[in-house]
Amino acid sequence: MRVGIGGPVGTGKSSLIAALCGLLTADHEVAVVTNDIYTTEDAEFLRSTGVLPVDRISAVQTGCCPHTAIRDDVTANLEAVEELERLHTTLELVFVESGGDNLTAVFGPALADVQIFVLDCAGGDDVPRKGGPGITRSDLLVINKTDLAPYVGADVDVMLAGARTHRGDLPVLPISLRQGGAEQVAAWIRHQLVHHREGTLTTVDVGPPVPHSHADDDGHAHAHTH
Amino acid sequence: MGPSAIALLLADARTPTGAYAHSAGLEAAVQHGLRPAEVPAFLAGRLATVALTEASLTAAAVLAGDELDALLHLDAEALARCPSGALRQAASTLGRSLLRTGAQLFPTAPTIAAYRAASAHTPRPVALGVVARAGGLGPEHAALVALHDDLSGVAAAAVKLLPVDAGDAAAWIAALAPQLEATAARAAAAALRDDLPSLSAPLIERRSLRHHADPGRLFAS
Repeated sequence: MRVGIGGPVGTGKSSLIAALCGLLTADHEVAVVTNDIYTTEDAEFLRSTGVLPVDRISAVQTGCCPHTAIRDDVTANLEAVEELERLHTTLELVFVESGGDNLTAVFGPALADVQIFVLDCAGGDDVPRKGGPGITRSDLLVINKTDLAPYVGADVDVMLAGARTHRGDLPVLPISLRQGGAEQVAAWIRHQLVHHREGTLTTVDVGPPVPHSHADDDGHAHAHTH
Repeated sequence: MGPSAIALLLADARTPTGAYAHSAGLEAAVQHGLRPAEVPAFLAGRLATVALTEASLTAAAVLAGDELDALLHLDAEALARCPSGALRQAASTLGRSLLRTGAQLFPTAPTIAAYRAASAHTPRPVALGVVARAGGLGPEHAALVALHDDLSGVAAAAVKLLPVDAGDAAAWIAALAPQLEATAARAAAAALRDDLPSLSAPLIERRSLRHHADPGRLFAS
């Protein structure tokens, strides 16, 4: 199962992946593809954490176009993912980390089976209200750094309300990675993986930045068929 | 020449082939002090040397048709003309990406899949010839696509790397259009004579090695 992790720069995508690797590698075969703005920075961070063997981390350069690499032209990322799958035939989970971009940068269905969009309290509690495809229709919206909220004048409830306006019942997880919040995300991923194995996981195409619609919401909190 | 609509599709940067992440050596040149006003000369330099060499390989791959042995021989010809390991790797990655998309564009073309499976290197010039032929292009038309792709890749990277007006960058290519077409004819003629040129650009090749090891680069090559 290929999991796209997107969201603006500095919201905690790399830290989330490092924490998820720490939690998931005991039971699952995991690899990561990073899309760095400056070549291998995110890959080096991940290697330095020691959560994965270095041959399970692959860096893809995106020539100043991180959004292109995850949606308009995913060929380089697909090559990297498939190379990892060739090298490690028992892989169960491949995380693809976006280089960090604006609110419209989302993964195309050819690259990610499910995608997580990461925001943080420090970026301002009005961000979820702004909408955009990542906030509106990502399979999971993570709001990180809740521990910082009181220090930066952010109200987590305002963020959750803003997200709900756009997402309806699609899941939102307010977490603090520093306080062990990755476990909730790991549980969500394990759940998706079960559906993926059963063949009941349906890729939700996040689509272009169009006005919000509830047309395909079915009242359930995750993206799979019924 | 062959179907023009397919040529336009293959030359269109919006057709996904992974090329946007490559600067054709421009980033390394900029790191070594290349100024905006010098980019047209850089383009002309590529056109006269490595771009012509690669376009000849593309034309030869069109002529090789469905003969897999001939295509794999062209792989060796391409490698022999590319001494830089970093550039070989870039060409290989770009070739694989192009073949992936080519297989989607022309799903019934047997040679795309056969070459993709048999080639250990998939250098982009050869891969482009395979895909162009599947689209019905002749050798000169395919060479023109190869040359346009080379120059437009540099121009697009220039807009990101240097204080350059994107309109000016496109105008650089327009100014080179006559040479571009003449070079495509030369490349196709060389392929027809089975006399592939071996023109190189040593500075581009040498700089590619350091660029590849640079942790602060924006482009893959």
